[in-house]
Amino acid sequence: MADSRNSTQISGHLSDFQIVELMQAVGMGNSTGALHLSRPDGRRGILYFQEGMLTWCREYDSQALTLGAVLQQMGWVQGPDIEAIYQRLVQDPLGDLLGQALVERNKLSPQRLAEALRIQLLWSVREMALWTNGDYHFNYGETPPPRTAEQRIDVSRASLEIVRYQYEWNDLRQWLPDAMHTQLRMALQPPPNRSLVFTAADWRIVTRVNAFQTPRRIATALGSPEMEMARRIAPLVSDGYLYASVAEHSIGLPAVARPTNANTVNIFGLLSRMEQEWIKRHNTLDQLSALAMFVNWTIDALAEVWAQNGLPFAPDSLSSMLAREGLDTIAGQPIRVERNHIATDALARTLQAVIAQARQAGDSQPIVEAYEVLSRALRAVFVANNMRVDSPQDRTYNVAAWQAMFEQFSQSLQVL
Amino acid sequence: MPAQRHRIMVIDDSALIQRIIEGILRREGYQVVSFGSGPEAMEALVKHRVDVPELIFMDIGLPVMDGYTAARLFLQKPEFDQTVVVMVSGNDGMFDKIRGRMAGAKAYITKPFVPGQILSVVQQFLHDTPALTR
Repeated sequence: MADSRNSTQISGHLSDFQIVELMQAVGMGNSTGALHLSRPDGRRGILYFQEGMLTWCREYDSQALTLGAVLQQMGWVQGPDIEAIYQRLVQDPLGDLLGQALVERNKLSPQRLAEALRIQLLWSVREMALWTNGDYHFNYGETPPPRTAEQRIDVSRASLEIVRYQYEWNDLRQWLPDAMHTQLRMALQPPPNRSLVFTAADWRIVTRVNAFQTPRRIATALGSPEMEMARRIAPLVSDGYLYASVAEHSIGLPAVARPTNANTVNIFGLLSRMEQEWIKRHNTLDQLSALAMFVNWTIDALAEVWAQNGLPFAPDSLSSMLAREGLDTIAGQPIRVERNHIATDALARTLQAVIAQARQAGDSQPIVEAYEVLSRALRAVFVANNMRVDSPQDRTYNVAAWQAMFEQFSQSLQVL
Repeated sequence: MPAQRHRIMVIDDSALIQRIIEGILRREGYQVVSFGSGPEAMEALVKHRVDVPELIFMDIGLPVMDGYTAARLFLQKPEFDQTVVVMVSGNDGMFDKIRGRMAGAKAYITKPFVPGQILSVVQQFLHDTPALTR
């Protein structure tokens, strides 16, 4: 690996080192950090490692492997159940992730969810490991953004899977040139000298090609693991029943998550505003009230983006999130939420009582607890927003900024 | 010139402001280094731990040495003759802006700011003028 001037980063070209070799180097070094990959066609990916173990990855592609696709391919959850959850998620910017939502509704066991997340990681990595053209850089110490479903997969285990997968694609690539993303369509004319007799399994594939177009989406629609599907599709291409091509890739969140994209929420502008507002707050009540106001500002920013995307904003989005996170009371008093905003007047009365009692008892703990509840609520809103940002690296920048903000707030909090 | 070849420095005693400006600029591919005070930045430059930046976002209310003094010190050095200093402050007064100009700053940004303000200053001074080669 070529050393760049910056000692916290290693970079080079994928023509010099294969991704599997880079992963092994990271594994052997027990390194923690993120391996960033970029191809000349704009496609990018990130693999995260913790002490040499593979923990999470992300491919920036509208056709990247989603958890929903894995669950359907494995036959663990049916498409309509996933669709029903998505319908709720698009209206709930502060809502749970798909996997958690399915578990909460008893559509999936926690064990199956863990297994599906593991499969998603392994299959995504083996797919990206087919990339041979492009650049890489490894950022030491970079960790995934909060609330990502981190796994711990031994790099040698992942490497074996990658090598096996690459071996299979040595043969399949001539028929499916863009692997799981290959664009397929039915041949306009029946191939000469071929019978039109299909097995039932092949018939199911052929009849879905025009609707679902790629091996991944056909596999998802038919509830079959995508590698098995690719093995079945390749002969149909080689026999001339199907045409295969490489289409232009659309970079960003997977297609199913596109409607809830929160890239345009101006988080840095919000943080800058919050910093200036906080500086003006010199007493405990004003500071604690400011945190509630910041929650409301962030919700307003999210609501604006939701409106721009033409999506309804579930009226209980904030109250559900506060309840889910156990942040719906302060000193035993419920935090009142009206139309996704914390009712600041009612909260101020609660806070006044908390502060008065704390001062009387000479015990700052209730104030610290109130600060914890409100700052965690604000952080939870940030995290929910961040999960809807395309780029993991952008998410990391956002996290670094708000962590600095909370540190600044806690250092300047007037306790007693 | 691609963004990643431009070097930008942030000097602000607020870690939050450092992270915000870093985030805004790194998202666009710029190289950014941050320091909490003018002397810290100067020491890193003297010891060649960082390259001479093409643009500095300088907070005015810095500890040890205020932003005006730090800007003047930097800009007196010949290796900074092509460096652009942009003052960043919570004060929006005319007097502060004039003092910034007198210290050699080319622009003045008032907090709170939005990412577009930071990026437009960078665009104005780094992409409309030839980049430094050293």
